[in-house]
Amino acid sequence: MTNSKQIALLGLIVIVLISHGIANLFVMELNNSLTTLSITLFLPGLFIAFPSLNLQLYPAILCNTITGILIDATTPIPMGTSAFVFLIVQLVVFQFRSVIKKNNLYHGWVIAQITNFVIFSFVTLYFNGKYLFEDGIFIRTLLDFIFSQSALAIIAPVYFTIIKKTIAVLRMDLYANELSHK
Amino acid sequence: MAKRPLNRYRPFLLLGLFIFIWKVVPKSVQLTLHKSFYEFQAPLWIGSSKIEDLHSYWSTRTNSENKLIEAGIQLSRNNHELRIQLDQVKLQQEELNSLRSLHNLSPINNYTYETARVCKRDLTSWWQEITIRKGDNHGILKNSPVIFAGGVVGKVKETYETTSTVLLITSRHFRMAARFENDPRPVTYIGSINSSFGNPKGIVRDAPSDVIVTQEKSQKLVSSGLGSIFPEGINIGTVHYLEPGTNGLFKAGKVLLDKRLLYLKEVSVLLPKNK
Repeated sequence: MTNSKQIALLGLIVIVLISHGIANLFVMELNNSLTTLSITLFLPGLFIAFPSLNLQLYPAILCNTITGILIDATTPIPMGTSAFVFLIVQLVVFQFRSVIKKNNLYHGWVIAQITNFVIFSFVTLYFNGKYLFEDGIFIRTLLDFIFSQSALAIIAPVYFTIIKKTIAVLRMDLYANELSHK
Repeated sequence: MAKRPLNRYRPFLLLGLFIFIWKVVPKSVQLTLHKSFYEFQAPLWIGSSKIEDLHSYWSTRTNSENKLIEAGIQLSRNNHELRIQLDQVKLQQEELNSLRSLHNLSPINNYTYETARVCKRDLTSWWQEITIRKGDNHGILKNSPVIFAGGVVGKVKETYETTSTVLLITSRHFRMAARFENDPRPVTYIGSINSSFGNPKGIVRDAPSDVIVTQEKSQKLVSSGLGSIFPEGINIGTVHYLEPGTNGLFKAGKVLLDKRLLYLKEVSVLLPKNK
């Protein structure tokens, strides 16, 4: 790989990570406001879908590992767990991404929803597995899940479009990068 | 041709490599990585919280002069009342201290208060924590008790350079020794996740069977001073009913906590005076 290609790839990774950071801050502010209603939005699917579907293998792994560790650092989840789950989900998506893209016009949106569901279920089982049916925890978790998926349904298309537009404005070729992988 | 199958499984080989490296890496390296990634993000939260403060400052500035004068008058009245109460408290404190010294007992108030703004609230169904804008640099210590105007908030779980995380009283992992306001016998308080659109709540356990609490005759639950984290007499919440526990020897019930716990903006960390 030539130097200019490497720089372009690095630029893509930086753009995706900065976008994730801003989106994470936005979700945090939303959650800060929603605490009065005891509702939490959990949107990791937002961060996995874009790199998994649009970047090459190594940049996508790098993006998802860094995002996972950033999330692990700020939550009581044991260090490395989110990064590990993100990697598994990403690798599964990566295996089938050409099939998914052929058959579905809204592939980004669908993948974001599915990955969010998988990670939400994982965290719920990890933290509340034993207590899920105690003292209203199930209802709270279910409502959090419904609100999270609904919020993701609204935010994800806008978020993906913003990243794509930013990449286009900066004159980087996302799709050339993707095709070069094949 | 021989490369193709390997390419297919390359992602999973990478995953295996990640797991292997993660298992081999010493705990100290993981901890350093955790701290670095946390500290890297902390300025963003602090900045965002300061922008919020600035926003409320400018929205206050848009108030009319008359409104501000009215608020000022009300504030000076409140200050006057509080000053009188403070004088009374000082007198009572002095009297209490002299009585305790007569009996060779150590003084009760061994804490200083470090007030801190809340910059992040994580009140999920999995964990209940808040992040405050003060940390190691301000002398905040791990396991220090955190309170607010309504009573107990929680205890400091982790400290960083400029921030600290506080385990909330509503967390399932939070437990403390408590007592009913008019009963010296200790009971156990355990946090409980609050339901959506509901008020914060907790659970009281190990209450003696002769304690009677009903909807009409509710009782306040306060810290007992046992357990060496919280000083005695800090408000926890109100108990409206008690029912026999699973073993039949003790009673258990629900504790209703202060609603303001859901939108805390400022808290006080109690720090030992000698530190």
